[in-house]
Amino acid sequence: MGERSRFRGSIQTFLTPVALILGALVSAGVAAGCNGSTTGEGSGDGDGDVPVGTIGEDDIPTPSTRFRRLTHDEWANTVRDLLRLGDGPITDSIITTAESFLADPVQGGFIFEGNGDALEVDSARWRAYQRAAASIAEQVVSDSTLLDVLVPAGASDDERGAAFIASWGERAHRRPLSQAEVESYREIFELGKTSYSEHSGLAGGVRLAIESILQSPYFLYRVERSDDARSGVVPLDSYERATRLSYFFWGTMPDDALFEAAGSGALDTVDGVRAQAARLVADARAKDTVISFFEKVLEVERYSRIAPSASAFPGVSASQLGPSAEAETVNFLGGVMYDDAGGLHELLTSTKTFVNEQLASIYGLDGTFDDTFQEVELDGSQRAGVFTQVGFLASHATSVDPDPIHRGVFIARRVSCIPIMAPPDSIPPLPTPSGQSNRQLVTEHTEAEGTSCRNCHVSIINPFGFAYEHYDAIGAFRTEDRSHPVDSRTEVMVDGGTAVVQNAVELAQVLSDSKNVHECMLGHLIAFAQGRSTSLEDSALIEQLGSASRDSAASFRDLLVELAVADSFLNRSTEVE
Amino acid sequence: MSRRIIQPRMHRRTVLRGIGGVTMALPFLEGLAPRTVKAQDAAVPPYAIFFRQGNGVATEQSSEFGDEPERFWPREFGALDAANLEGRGLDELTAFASKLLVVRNINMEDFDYADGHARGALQCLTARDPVIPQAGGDSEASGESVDHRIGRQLNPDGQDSLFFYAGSPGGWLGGPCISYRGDNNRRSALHNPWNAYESIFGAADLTDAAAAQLAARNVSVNDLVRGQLQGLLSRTDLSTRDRERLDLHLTSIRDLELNLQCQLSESEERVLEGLESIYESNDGDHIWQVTRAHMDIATIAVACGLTRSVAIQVGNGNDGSSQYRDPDTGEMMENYHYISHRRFSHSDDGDFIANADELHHKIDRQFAQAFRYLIERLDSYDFGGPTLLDLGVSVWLNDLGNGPGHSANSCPFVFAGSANSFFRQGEYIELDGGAWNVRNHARVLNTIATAVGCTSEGKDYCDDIGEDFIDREPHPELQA
Repeated sequence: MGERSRFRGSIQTFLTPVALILGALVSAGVAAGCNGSTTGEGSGDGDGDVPVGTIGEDDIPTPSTRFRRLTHDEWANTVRDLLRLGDGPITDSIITTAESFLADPVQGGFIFEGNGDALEVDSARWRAYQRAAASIAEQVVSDSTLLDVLVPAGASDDERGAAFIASWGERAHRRPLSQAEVESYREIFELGKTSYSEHSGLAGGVRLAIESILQSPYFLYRVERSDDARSGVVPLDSYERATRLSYFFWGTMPDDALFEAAGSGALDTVDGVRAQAARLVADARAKDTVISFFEKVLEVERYSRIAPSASAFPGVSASQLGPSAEAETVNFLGGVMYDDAGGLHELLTSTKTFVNEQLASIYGLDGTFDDTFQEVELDGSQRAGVFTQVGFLASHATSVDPDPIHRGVFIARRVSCIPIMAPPDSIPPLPTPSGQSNRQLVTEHTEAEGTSCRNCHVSIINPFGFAYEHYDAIGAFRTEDRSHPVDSRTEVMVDGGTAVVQNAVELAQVLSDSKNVHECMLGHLIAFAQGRSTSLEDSALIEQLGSASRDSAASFRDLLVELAVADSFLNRSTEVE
Repeated sequence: MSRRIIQPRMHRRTVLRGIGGVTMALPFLEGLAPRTVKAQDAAVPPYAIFFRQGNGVATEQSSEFGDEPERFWPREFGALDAANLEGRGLDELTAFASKLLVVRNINMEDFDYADGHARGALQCLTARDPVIPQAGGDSEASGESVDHRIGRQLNPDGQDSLFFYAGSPGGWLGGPCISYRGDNNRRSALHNPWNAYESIFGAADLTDAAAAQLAARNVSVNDLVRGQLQGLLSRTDLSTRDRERLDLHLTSIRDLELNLQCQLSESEERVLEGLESIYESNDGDHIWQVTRAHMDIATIAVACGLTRSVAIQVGNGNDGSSQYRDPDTGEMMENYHYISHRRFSHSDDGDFIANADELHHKIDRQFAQAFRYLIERLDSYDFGGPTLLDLGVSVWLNDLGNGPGHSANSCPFVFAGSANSFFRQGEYIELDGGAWNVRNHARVLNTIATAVGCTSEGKDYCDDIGEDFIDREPHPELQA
């Protein structure tokens, strides 16, 4: 790999909203890594050494893979939909099979599963795909009802086989087949008719055709073959656009309507794409996508490690708190961000949530609650948005105390995309408290003059984290901290300046008003949609979406649609690394 | 494209055929006694197996926790024998002392990973600096690892080398993290032993006629898929990375089903299937079960000539989830990372763990026992002189020198097997006169690659593993 491409790779990783932090560190030094700015300095010579986070004038596609392999979830969804299956044993078998596939590597801290650069077909996966294809094909032809659906009766076996290859092959390739491809699959069909001792004729032909199509690179990858550059970009063809849309909104192959739109040329125009995107986002499957996106951004998987001390919190079922918190977050995301058509303002400030008996107790709610979750309004003087809910607070706490350091790091890095350097290897331990409050202890430990910790803690980490000191290790509101009045007043870095907040509720409003926060979160969305780290080329789109979110209070559903009609989503880069 | 067709099976699952035609019994799983094969048939080429431990070892050190005695390294440099190993973690390997080379003062570079575990785990097989400095737990290595390098050059038909991972998924550095195809290109690891076995050997209980029918179908499908991939590869406008991606897919497609002859008995297969429910566990008992199964599969793969290189990783980047059992109390210890830090913490807080260095020593012993299991398996392939162990080299390595200090210096490397008389045997040595500032780790990796047959362009040895600005010449002090 040459110097230029190597450097570009680094920049792309820098601009992952989380890893953007690191870019500023490298380009501007450690101290600048804690300056609270998401922009850095560069020579701007066009060789990658340009300001990190600089907003460009145009929405330009970033060079990326043209062979993005299906994730294991996408594979399962696609096979199910390709076979037009609902719930049932074959669908269960497909899901189980996908779960057995070799896990894809977590690479470079990319927080989503579909990192296109890391998705490969190696020996183990090839064998797994081969086995899965054989198993699925066998199950299909053993189910006469399903076989009749896929290969309608009423003609000769050869005619039925030809029709199956044309229609099923097109849906599997997610584009019409060439004549040569039809012919190659027809040869496979013919071979299949005599290749199974347990089948003959049509069933054998269909079985081997399914086996082969499910192993095709055109099925396993989202292949983008378009190569006709115009105006500095390569417009994706209609079918490639349909594929991008369906996997972004639904995590699966295009449905019949989308294929029809692709075939009619409707996706050649932005209006046509917008119409389809609006249809897709209105479908319940998009709700799952919204939830899935935020689960990754919010690190909901951390909730499983919530483990409050039995002695410090004797009335709390430690084993239930994590699952309860996860259910709350999922309900909140689905209810507020999708059903209510909320946006990032609502994510950050809504007082609505969903609780069961355990969470109602933690929130101090009056009323009757049981194991089921019900919608409630929380006290607006104590709670505002997802970061004042139990899940975030309890998953960023020790078993006994709130953890302002990790709460602060999360808000800075993940939510605000503020650079923070990785901590040194051997840092001295947080001492046992001797009369101090939690805040005092952390302050003394991390903000001492002359320490390497001070740079990041004093200006970024601790201010964000201290704003949440009104919430204990299980997320309950408190007014005392080890016999001291809680002090949650702090001055946080935001948008290159500072803002004084009295508590997390005020911080929520500051975050909600922050340009950087909206752009940071929309950067995450672009990474999710495109299966790659964000890059300089995404800057214009990030700014555009960020503005729509912050200034126009766009709903998240609308932001999904706006992303889907962006130039960088509908075209690919001409650049070949 | 060469094509190999399934051959009718002679005796299902009880014999295997090595690449030189030798018929060998499979010393697979506990309870199966190995049988002898003829020496003149021994034709297994040199191979390397890497077995990685994290978190350093319980070695002599002074820290805020006090003075800790030496519990790992042999007592003195020179010949390895029972007396020299007694009381140290390595005495678990006493039975194989004559076939060991214990090497001290292997020093890694202090690359700027901003985290000792990232620096150790990502560098231990790559000798590469990070793609992005200071990235800590989000780091990636910037080049190919030695295990992949060996497989890429020496494996039959370009087959992937094997990379196994035991432990819970995810965690620090994302779980599996020591093996790289190249710059910023981390490999996935085989995790579930049953799936690993299936993917390597195939597992089909077929009659000969059905096997032949299956082979014919597979060849036709494979040819079609190959044609599609080659069609895509024929495009001139592909990025390097996309071309690599499609190439990997293409070379992964196998008509070769010779390995059907390397299958297990049904009861042995059931043992592997039984691990499906525990392979993601952080319970040390389960981790060792899975690790031993990986070692079994690695052994048979090497014996069958399916790979010349294997990497086995236990635990994630800092092995921060695994809890191993204290053999003296029968209780589970704190997670290994806590113990290595000597605190109840993954970072800087938390109370001291009493006698943590003793606990660390007990974990070192468990890694030694697992390594002994591997070399016992390899040694049980008897060629009437050299055993399979002798024909290759197995390396138990730690990516840190010690626990609390996270040192890049003197990272333990224990070699077993001489790679067909390439390596010194039966000795405890100190490289480069013990000079701590000599960064010789890349030289060691290139020595291993050279020992098993890798060569760099225009040379009869390998010196291309690791950053090109560091010393990468094979190290003569390791050689017999």
